[in-house]
Amino acid sequence: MSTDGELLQEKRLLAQVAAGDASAFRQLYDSTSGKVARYVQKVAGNHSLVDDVVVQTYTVAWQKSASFQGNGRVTTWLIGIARNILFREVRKGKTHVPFEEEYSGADTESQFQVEIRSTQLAVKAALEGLKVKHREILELVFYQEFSYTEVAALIGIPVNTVKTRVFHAKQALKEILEKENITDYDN
Amino acid sequence: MTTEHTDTSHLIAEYCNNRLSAREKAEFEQRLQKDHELSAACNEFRRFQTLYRQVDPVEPAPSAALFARISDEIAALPRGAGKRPAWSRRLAGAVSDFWQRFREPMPWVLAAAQAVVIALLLVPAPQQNIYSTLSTAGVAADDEMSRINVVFRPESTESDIRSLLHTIQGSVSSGPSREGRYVVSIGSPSDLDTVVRTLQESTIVLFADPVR
Repeated sequence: MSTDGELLQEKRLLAQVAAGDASAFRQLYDSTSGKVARYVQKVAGNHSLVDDVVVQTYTVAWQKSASFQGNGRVTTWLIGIARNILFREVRKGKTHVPFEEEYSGADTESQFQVEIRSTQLAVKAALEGLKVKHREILELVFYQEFSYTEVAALIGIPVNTVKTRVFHAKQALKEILEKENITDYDN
Repeated sequence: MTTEHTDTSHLIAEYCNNRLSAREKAEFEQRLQKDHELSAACNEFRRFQTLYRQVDPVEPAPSAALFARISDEIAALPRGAGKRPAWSRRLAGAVSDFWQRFREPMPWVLAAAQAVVIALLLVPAPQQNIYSTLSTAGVAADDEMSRINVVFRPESTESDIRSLLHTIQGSVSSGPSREGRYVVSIGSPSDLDTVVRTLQESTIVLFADPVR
């Protein structure tokens, strides 16, 4: 949740960073890097890539902080930068993360060979088996607290497509869980 | 599904994440009372969000090592690649225009100004460390072992200088003097030689030498 006061504070912090204040930059890093790193982790699913993307994200943030408009949250802006870098890294072939829209999903069969006892572990494994675009939208909406409008702007799709994608992501998750005879997760 | 539901369903995430303004929230809650499908969708959103967060609540802690890597990346940026504040860009533009106008009719003025700057830089530093500063007229340095006289190139930007100071973990303790000299303090006297070398190798530094 971000109140108007928090948004104003973030805007001031970015203004300090834009003026070259190194301690403000450290404060920005400390307060936001967890969310940015988590987003990259969830989408890329490739932990070796996370650090590189985070380093590049904050380097760009330092350079471009003067361009932050202050109309939204700083984490929304940073995640936008991180996403662009992640895409670029994937296109450069630095990683094998299948990021394209029509990615058919991971091998969910083998992921479930390990005996899963708790519902939470099962849901976690199921999430990892989702298509990248579904993992991303669930993370943005249900953890990072993006509005549908922000998601639409970030990904470059209409708001109605965001709604549809959220619906399909949840359906895909349900299907994976039902295959594993786990049906009580949404009670 | 009602028309009202269709019109406002895109606000479910913002409502549940408490990101609507007070007015929008009040309007949305009015709709919730009338629209049971919208209300059910909100409840379903909250249930799923609770589950999603329980499944993996981990958010990586900020890493000092990673921040050091970021600092290194920033310090290694090519000169001019760093951002410059808007006021700095305007000022730089005005200065550039001024010099452009000045240079065209009188190129000798520029040459003379450069000669004066070079002559001033060649004058040995005074033995006592008393410098005129913009902020104080006091003595610049007491602990001479960890202080360095530095002259930055005139075209260096504020962010370039800050990045460099950040790299050497130093801060300006006084300056600029009339000659454009700053006194930079560093935390650890044992790093003095390394820091001086780093400064001397920097493309934005004209001159760097320990205060003796």
